[in-house]
Amino acid sequence: MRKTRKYAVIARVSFSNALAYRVSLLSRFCFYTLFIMIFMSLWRAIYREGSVHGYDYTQIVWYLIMTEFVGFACGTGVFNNMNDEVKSGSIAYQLCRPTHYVLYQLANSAGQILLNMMCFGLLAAVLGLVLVGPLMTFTVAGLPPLLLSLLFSFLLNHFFLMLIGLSAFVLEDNFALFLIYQKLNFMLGMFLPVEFLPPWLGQIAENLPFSYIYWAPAKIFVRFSPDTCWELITRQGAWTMAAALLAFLTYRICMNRLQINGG
Amino acid sequence: MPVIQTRSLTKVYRTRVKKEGLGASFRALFHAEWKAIQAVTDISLQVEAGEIVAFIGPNGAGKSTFIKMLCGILHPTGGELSVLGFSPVKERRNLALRIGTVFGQKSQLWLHLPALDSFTLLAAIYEISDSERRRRVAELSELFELKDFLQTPVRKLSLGQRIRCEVAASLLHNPELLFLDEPTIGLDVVVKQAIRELILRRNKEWGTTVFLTSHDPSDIEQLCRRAVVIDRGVIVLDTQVDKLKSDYLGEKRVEVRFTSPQPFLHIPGAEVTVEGGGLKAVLTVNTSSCPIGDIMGRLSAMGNVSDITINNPPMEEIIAGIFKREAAS
Repeated sequence: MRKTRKYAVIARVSFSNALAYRVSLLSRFCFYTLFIMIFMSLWRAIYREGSVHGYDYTQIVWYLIMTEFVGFACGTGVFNNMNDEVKSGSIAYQLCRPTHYVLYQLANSAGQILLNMMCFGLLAAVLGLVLVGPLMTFTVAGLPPLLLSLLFSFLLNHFFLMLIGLSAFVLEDNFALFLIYQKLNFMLGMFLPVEFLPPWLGQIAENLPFSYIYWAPAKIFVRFSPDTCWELITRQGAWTMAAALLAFLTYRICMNRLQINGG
Repeated sequence: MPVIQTRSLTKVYRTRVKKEGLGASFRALFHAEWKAIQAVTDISLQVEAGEIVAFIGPNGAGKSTFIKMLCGILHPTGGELSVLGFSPVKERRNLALRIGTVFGQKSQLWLHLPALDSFTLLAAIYEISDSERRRRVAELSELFELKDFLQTPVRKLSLGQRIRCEVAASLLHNPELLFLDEPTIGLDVVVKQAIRELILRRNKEWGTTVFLTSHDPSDIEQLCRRAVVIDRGVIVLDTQVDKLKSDYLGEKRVEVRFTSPQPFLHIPGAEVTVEGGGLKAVLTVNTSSCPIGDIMGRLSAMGNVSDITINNPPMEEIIAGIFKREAAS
């Protein structure tokens, strides 16, 4: 019991710590709103002709609000934290504790994300309702699968960021990997629904894990259908399991190769 | 059973090397060159329960690498080691429940939260119950005099206050073995003294074994009974601090400032260098043959002394002296 309780306390302390960054949170609120306004104008110009690939204007704006919500809410500092810890050598403290480093980072991110989800969730709902009104295609029955999908989004994104962070154990500079990951996410679901991609690319995107971070929860939200919803969630779950296993395995390998900077 | 036991412990790092210049940078893109660095070589060491051992050496000697192997963070390249009966590599998390660490230049506290929140977090990590945590925090808060700033965010604490919190945090789970890696670095004299007293008290009252690295000779003189000197990954001396004191630490540097020039100065038992046109003098005194009180007495009898500072020689000089003597013997 105490072994699992420790990770809950880590998440709780991380939540309190995130509350200390009020100015950062407010500035990200402004950035989020600005982002939505700019892309909404872009979509308004595109949607003069009617619906595109089955998404009407209201749906595409809510899609944008949802993907940006996932981006802002699930974006934790895990990559930067791990990079800093490995490069400064302060990882020594984390490894001297009776915790599993991968689980410690997960609990730490969960605390930050919980706060982000609450704050950005509220902002996203208000923005959507004010800008385009309610999303008629979404019902309360869709809420539990949506929350489950968001949980998988967070976990999948977290384990990917963690894998890139773990590469700091062996690479001198892993920022390029982070940039590639960001761009892949942007193109494969964050900016556009996968249906908007050319068919050959859409096919590839559906078989890659990156689309399941942004596209899956946003599609469940704006075009909810029980069949596609559970298929998407199953795929998300499978990719999350694979990414988690890979993160644990990579951590084990990296531990054997660890060199602490500064002695 | 010894608390720490190592046999022929060795750690070799592989590091990338690149020659100077732009051309070499391009070549390194396609053909990386690696160099093996022997950080720790064949160290066999035994530390008994309740000992306070100083592990000293110049920068890059392999002290931190050795400590990190003992904690299970770094995996040795060769040799055997056992800490509190555990194999640090295989049983790192079980061992972590029974050891405490302070890395003086790094922080284990959450900067934006009060130290009290970090204590709560650490108590959960070390699987301490809530009632026990409250009792231990109260006890450590009294011992380390933390009460006034326990609820202040760590980033707003002075370095001395933060280090007191760091040491207290490392003792929260009552570790049997404490690794202190330069715990007094950057602290003023008063705080250094307070930290030393707290460590000594913990050792006396709880029998905590302390394994300490420091560049401050006073830490070693006042805290430790045994000193192990390491250089380039090899143990060059393992002796009692009393012996180290008489042989190497007994030398003090006395800086004297005068109100009127004193071009010639002769103090029996001291090696004297006069500087600044006779307004300043540096006396090197071996306290084992000439007590510092005698020197003070002679200086104050001169009547024109405005200021006196007594310093230990730098650790690098002490170690250089040890090498010289060991090479000669």
